[in-house]
Amino acid sequence: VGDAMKMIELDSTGWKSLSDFGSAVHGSLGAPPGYNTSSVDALLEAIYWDHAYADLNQSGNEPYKIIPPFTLRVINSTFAPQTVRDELLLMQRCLDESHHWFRQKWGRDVDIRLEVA
Amino acid sequence: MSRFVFWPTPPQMLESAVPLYAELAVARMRLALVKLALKYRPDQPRVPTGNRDGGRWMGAGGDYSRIAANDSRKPPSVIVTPMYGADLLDPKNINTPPSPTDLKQIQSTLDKLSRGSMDDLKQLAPKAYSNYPSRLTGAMLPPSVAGYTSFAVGSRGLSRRLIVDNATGATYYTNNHYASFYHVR
Repeated sequence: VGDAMKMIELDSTGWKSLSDFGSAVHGSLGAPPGYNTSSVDALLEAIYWDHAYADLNQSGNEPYKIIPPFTLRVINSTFAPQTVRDELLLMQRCLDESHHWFRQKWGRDVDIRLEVA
Repeated sequence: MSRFVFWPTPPQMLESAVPLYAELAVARMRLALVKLALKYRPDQPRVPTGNRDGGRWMGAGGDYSRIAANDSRKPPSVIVTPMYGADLLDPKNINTPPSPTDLKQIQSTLDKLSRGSMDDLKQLAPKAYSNYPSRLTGAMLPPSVAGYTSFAVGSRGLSRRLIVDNATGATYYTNNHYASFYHVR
């Protein structure tokens, strides 16, 4: 229990901005109250950082309904505006950087992926 | 002695921090490369918040007219030149005076950074802060050549963070998940 990869599919049909992606992420993961969906860094915390540190600290109080490992898979992105596709690519790049930063710092990582289809 | 020393440079960590310095140097180099790849220029202006392309880089020379002309909601004659100033920390004026509890927890976070033990650092959950502007408010921090590190404030309320300039130690506080910032002096 808890170590099987969970696939979370997010349908980008109708998305107009990063906030739409953020709302879908927050709803799927069950992000804590007080989080906003409108900046890259805020989203990265909900997608990656909070989970990585909850795992590192072994606090046992993950504030999310979904815990790693999980994959966020965005579907129908070809129908989304170019600005949204650009934002998703930026999120992927920032997520890669976050993985790298955390591994470099703490020597471990959590399996969280973002796929755009 | 300064009121705080930003992570990961506390002198008491020197012995254990050698690998961290190497990691920080690598992280800085990677950041520089990423920004170079993105053709990042700190002085390049951004489209002001409230516009369709709010937060995006503007063209060379800060010419907003091309964007404004393509934005049906704004008459082409309206030229908006973003001025980089203190209000960029809180463009929507949503900050309220921090509560005594806020101040106490900010101080506690600064104290932990000064001590710099690994246990403290784990609790503070440091993370690289990329400083892209908030799409909600347009808030962002001044560009930093070495980037920023963000630290958790308090045991509850994950949206409260201290953000520290890796080069200068300039410190900022947010209690709304990066929608606005306070300058911590």
